[in-house]
Amino acid sequence: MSDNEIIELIKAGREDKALVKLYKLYPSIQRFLMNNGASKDEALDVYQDALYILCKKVKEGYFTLSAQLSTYLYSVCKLLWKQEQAKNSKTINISIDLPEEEQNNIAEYENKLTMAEQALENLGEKCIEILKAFYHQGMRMEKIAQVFGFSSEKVAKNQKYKCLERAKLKYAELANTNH
Amino acid sequence: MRTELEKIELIEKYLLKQLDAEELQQMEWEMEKDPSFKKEVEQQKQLMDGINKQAFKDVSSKAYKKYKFTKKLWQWGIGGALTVLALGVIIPLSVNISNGDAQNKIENVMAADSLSADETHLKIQHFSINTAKDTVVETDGGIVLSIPAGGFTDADGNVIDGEIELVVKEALSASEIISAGLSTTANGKLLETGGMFYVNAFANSKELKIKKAIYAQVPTDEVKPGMMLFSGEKTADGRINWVNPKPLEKWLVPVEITSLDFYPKDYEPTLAREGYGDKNKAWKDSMYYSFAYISNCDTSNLINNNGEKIFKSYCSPCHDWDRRLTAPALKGVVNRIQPGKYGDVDSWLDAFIRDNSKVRASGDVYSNKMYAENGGAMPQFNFSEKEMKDLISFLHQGPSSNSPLTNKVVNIGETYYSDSFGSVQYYTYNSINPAKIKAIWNSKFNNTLLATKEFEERLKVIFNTCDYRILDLYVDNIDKNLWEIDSMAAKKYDWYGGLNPFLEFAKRKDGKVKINDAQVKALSKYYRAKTLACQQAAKETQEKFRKEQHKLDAKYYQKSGEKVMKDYDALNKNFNAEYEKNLDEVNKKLGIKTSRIAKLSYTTSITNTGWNNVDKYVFEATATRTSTEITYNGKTATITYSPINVEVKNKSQYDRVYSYLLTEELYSFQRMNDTTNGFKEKLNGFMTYNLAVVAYKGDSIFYFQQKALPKEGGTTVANLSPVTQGVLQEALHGLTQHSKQKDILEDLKFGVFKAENEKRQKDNKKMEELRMKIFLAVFPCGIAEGAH
Repeated sequence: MSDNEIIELIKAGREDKALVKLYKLYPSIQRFLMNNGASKDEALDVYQDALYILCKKVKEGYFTLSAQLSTYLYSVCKLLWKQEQAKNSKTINISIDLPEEEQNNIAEYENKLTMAEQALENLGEKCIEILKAFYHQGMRMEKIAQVFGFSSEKVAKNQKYKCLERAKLKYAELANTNH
Repeated sequence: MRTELEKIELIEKYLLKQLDAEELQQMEWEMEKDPSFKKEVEQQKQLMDGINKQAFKDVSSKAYKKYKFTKKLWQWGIGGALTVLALGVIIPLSVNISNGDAQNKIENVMAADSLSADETHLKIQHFSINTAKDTVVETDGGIVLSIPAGGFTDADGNVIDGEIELVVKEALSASEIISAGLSTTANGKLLETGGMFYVNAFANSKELKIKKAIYAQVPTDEVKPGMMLFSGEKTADGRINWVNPKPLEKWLVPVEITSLDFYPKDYEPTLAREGYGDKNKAWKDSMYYSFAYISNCDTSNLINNNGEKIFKSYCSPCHDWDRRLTAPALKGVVNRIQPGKYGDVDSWLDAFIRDNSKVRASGDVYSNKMYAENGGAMPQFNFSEKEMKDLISFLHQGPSSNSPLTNKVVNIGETYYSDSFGSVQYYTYNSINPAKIKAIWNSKFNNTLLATKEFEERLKVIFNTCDYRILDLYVDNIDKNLWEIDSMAAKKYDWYGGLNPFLEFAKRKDGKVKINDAQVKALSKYYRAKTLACQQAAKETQEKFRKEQHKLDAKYYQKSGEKVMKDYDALNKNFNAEYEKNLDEVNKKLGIKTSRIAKLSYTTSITNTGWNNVDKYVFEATATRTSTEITYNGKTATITYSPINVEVKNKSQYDRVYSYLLTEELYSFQRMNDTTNGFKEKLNGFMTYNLAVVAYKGDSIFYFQQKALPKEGGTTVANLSPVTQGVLQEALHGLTQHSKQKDILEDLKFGVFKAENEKRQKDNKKMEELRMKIFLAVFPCGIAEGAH
């Protein structure tokens, strides 16, 4: 399957299929990351993060295929791993084949995303699932009430906002301590 | 003002592009105008992205698994039809009767049983056990064997009741298996092994037979589905073959239930973070169970709460809402006020409450009318902007109809809003009530499914589902296999999209703990009853505490109010006395023979020259406490006010320090102003002052006094020494008249009362803040909001 076909799959919302293909590129990237101090889990996390950035860019129409997909993912992974190491005040010397501006954009984006993820980590499983169902799957509140066993749509809606509110409080707290 | 939830909803609509053109314009305008609002929109957007990322991870992980699976199949080069058997191995108790001499009997039996000549590399582990009771042993490699009482018979079938010797060999790692020369083939197919072990038992060196099954738990890093138990046999050509595969039964081994950890995952870490990590279990339990009940409160009450509090503390000694006390009822006051030049009612109220005499002096009609009608002035109140705003807003809206003290009982599992001291709102839905945990985390449930490590692991996940019905499922089905309950829970938890943790649990095929029907019924009944009782108890404790606190608050506010009035009264009387004294002295000096005028107030307008004007100067000198020269008919009289500064040695080491001036001419004591550079006041040259300084540190009292302070003032250093209450009373008695001694003692007593109450309120506040944080750990889907 060509790079273009993979990108078309992502655009069409068939990430599940596209990702299976994209994982073919993983072993070599994994080897690289592990040679640079990543554990198996860390390597997988970095790759997932890179995949997410790719998919987001493609879907929002910001991605233009200028090199091979593998090269792009490789570069993003390098960047993310370098950033991750820097957080633990370790520097690794690897060159990254991306324009400076894009590097900065990705780094800044990843920082914010990590904070959002941390804020969400604190929520209960149920909160996360409700939010995912609503925002990601686009499930209607009525259906959410039914699936998650709420007595009414209103209660479900309220719970959803409460979950989000809790995450927001946490996010604001994180944003304050990080600056 | 929008509520927080309305705001979230609006931002959400904006981010999902669901606003219409007009709303969008409004939104963009607001974002431009208010940077903090814009930041909130940004943050909510980030969170939405974070949520999408979470969902993406699910998809991505599935894709990764799928990718790995197809890759494996390809490596084996097989189209999927292979049955991959994983293997746990038991070498069964053999019944070989060896004819060797008694000395070597055990070794002989084991040698005859061994499947490989190299098996001698494995260490032989001996355990002496008593078959009269149930025994659990753990081997070096971590295999746990549960041996039931009366589990063995001798060769003739007689149950052994006494000491026996249990012999175990184990090969759990790949290297052990290889060095022991044990292969893993089953009828020519290679098996993946989870480990092998050999068990045999002897009494008096005679080999025994197993009557009741021994349960063995073999440790593993990863539970692989489909593991089976094979028995080893030697083939004719000396090779090993593994036969008779049996599915593994995973019997659960109950442990002492109180040794397990049934707290929500984040509960203990939160306590540790807040500095309560080293509290004992009893403390942690009682803190956790106290969340079994969070009292209900209509949140609309919170809006006026602060203004109402201020009203209760400062105004209620003289004002009530709908009946007259010493001062008029305040119901409808905002409609009665004619604000005049103050423009609107709120500005008028603000000015009047701060300093009503100023408002009257400014010629304001309404305040002068009220003054004439009620025959008295109100004290001045130096509130902060915020307090004033709250108080005025209270005067507009009046007391809340439902007292914040009324509570509704919360049914477990219902949505509830609540508030325990009035400053925090709690919200959660269907979460696991700690009362339910209290009901199961006790010896009643020993020897059941709940008293297992396996359930402990599930409970952590159950907390996170925020769904009490899943917990109920486990408790109500304790006679079933754990994996069966896991499957039921998985169905209940069948949420679209995410990974289902209960499905993963179910795959482990964890078994059961035997229990009879009567026990099941009794425990189920106990569970419900105990849950309710625990909730009820938590409710009572909490309400009792809260009622007590409210009572103490009310008493404190009432006493404070009375004290404010009393101080104000004393201040007025002191002023009048001092004014009269000044006037007398000045008149004497100036040769004015007139008696003092009958009535004085700021509003007296001065129209004549003559002694009226002298009065005015004396009045002003007294009010501002400034030295003043008054000339009349060629004579001059001087009123002097000399600053005095009292420095208290080591002031910071005391909790509270008070400094009083006492003079015979005045009605009561004068409290000196406490500044960072000492206590300050001005001494009137016509009077002689004594000084009394009293300090508190904990329960100890310290005292300093000086008689007849120098008229010119200056600095006095107060060296405090410890005294008893009796000595203090005596000393004050010697320093001043009885009524002033009484006043000071009362003032000091109020100081102690105030300090106690402030500490109590501070402690409550601290506890409230702690509880807010713990709440979030106890209810992972809940939310707690401070109203400040």
